[in-house]
Amino acid sequence: MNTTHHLNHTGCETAPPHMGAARPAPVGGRRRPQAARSLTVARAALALAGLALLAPACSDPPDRVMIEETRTISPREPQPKINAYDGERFGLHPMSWTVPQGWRQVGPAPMRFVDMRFGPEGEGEAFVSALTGDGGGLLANVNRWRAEMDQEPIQEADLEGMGTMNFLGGPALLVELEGDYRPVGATSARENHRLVGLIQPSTELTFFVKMTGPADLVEQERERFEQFLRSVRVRSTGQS
Amino acid sequence: MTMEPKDVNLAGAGESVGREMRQLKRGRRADKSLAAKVLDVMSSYAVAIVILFLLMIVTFFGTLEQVEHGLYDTQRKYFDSVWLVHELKIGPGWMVLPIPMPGAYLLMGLLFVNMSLGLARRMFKQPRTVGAFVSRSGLIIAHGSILFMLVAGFVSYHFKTEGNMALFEGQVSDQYQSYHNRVVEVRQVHPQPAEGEEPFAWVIDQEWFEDLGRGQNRTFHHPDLPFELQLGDYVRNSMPARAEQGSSRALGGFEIRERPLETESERNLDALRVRAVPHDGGQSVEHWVWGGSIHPLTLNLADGSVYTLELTRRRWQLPFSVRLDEFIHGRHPGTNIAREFISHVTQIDATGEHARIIQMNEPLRDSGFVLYQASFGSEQLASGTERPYSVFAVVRNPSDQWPLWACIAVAVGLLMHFCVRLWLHLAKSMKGHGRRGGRRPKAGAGPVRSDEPAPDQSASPEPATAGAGR
Repeated sequence: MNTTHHLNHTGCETAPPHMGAARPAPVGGRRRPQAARSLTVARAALALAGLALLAPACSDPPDRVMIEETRTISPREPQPKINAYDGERFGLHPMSWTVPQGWRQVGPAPMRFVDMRFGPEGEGEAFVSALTGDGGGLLANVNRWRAEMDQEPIQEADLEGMGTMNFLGGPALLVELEGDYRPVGATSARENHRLVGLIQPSTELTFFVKMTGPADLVEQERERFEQFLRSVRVRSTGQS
Repeated sequence: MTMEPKDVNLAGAGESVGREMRQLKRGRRADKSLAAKVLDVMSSYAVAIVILFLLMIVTFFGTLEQVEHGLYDTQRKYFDSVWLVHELKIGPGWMVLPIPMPGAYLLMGLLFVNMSLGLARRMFKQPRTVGAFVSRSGLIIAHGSILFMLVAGFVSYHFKTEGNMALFEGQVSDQYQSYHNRVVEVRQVHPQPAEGEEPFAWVIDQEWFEDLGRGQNRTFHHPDLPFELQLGDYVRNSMPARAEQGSSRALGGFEIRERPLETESERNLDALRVRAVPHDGGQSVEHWVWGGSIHPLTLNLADGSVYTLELTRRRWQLPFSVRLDEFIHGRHPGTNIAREFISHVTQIDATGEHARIIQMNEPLRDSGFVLYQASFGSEQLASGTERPYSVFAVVRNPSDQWPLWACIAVAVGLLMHFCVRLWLHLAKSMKGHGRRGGRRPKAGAGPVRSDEPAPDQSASPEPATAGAGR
């Protein structure tokens, strides 16, 4: 049988034309199978690298964004405390307390740890403050409050007849006065007001708690005031 | 002319055929469209090998990285990303070589495409006969199941929510919060929503503010909000303190002090500078919000409306409530080693209240949610007593059981394939044995007796007479 061998221009054997070869075998012979496989792997790696590099680059978010997401508030979620002081929010406030229902926390005002308002138009006021040491002494502070309520000053001996109330785990002097209230810096007096206050002295810090407002309103909110007193705690924050 | 066996050069013929096939392939390849060539590459074993190799590299570097940077950050960088830059430290920390590489998210996506195309290509290229289908069905099932497992991972990544719920005894909750995902929530507290309207909060995801470094700001707005919010100066881990004199980060007497990142991401307490600018031209307010805050920031507007704003963990709603009735923490006698954690809870839903028990290896499953007993603790009260609380890990994953089904299907597919191949092998062996044992005897030779040695089968048949058949 005759076997036909097809030679290209260099004398190398090539596929017969009827086999459909689009191009002749390369000069010098055919590629080695191992090299072909390596080339396929290399092509695949390059393709993947190209895809990775062409992956969408992180575009910078815009400077102005409309809020589109919302979350339904569950009825079981506790109500957030409104008007908490920065120190309170961060757990750096030296005290913790519960604001009575219907009262509103405001401030913070200078020298006041807690400052609240109550009443239909916020005409009632309650706050907690402190002075270092004995704060000037019990008698001086009681007479200061008496002066604000347009009352005559009392003597040292009169302090013994005054009542006490528990505050921060210890007895505090209870001061109850009625009259025309003129707070420090006020130009006119507020008639028919009532003052309920506590003074708790110590060697390091003297706490003052004071509630003022129209006499009827103060009497009406007395129970909530006492609830607030029972809720006050002093804590060690460990922060500067 | 009859082709004589001794005239045939089998090796040469094979080489020629191989050469012709390769040229045929090249010819076909040259005739193929670009799309067809791309499909060939993307469905090839070579691409799969490269992808798996790169996945191995990413997994190796990610595993080393998480020792220093924690699981969450490493997962985001190496496994949730499209691409990343690994910093290879050379020497005792004196040289860092940045190595860009594709992230595992991209690689898994490419692997899915590669396996899908490979499966389709091989299915359609096989002879479309019942026999071919049966012989390949096991592999197809196994291959498809692995693809299904990749889909399960994709669904889990995009749709799974995971967090925790801490309850004191007697406390009820219907929410769980994320371990890692932070959001800013803005909520109107006054005036209250009208009758029939559900209260809600506007939510800004951390993806919108976590890139804001020192001095950088972004403004957020909504048509229903009477103010704009400018967020900036995001700090990943921080602690507030009373501001020192001259502090550049002081707001309202407090400042935020940056701290090193915790290895456990959930321990980081982030902070963000917030500035609310009313639309009516009123005075803007500027404060820090802190991830560890006890209370939210309050914004009092001139029109009397009140809003709260807080930086908190993302919260999700459950379709039912859970009340912790009793938490039992048993220890082995005489030791502090935990023996059991059992939470007696009441599940409250539209159908009523149902007593349930959640303990280790016995979660509560309902409505696609799973509550696991995760941890516990106690709070010291002022009276000196302790108030215990139980912590549940809550997971919602639509593809929770898919990997299990996929593994079972892979096992079934491989078992089927094994049985088919075993059957074919046995059938072939029996056929071949029958052919050898029943060899056609030579003319006139008579039957082969069992005590006679088998005739030599290696000798070539006697040549035909010259000229016959030509």
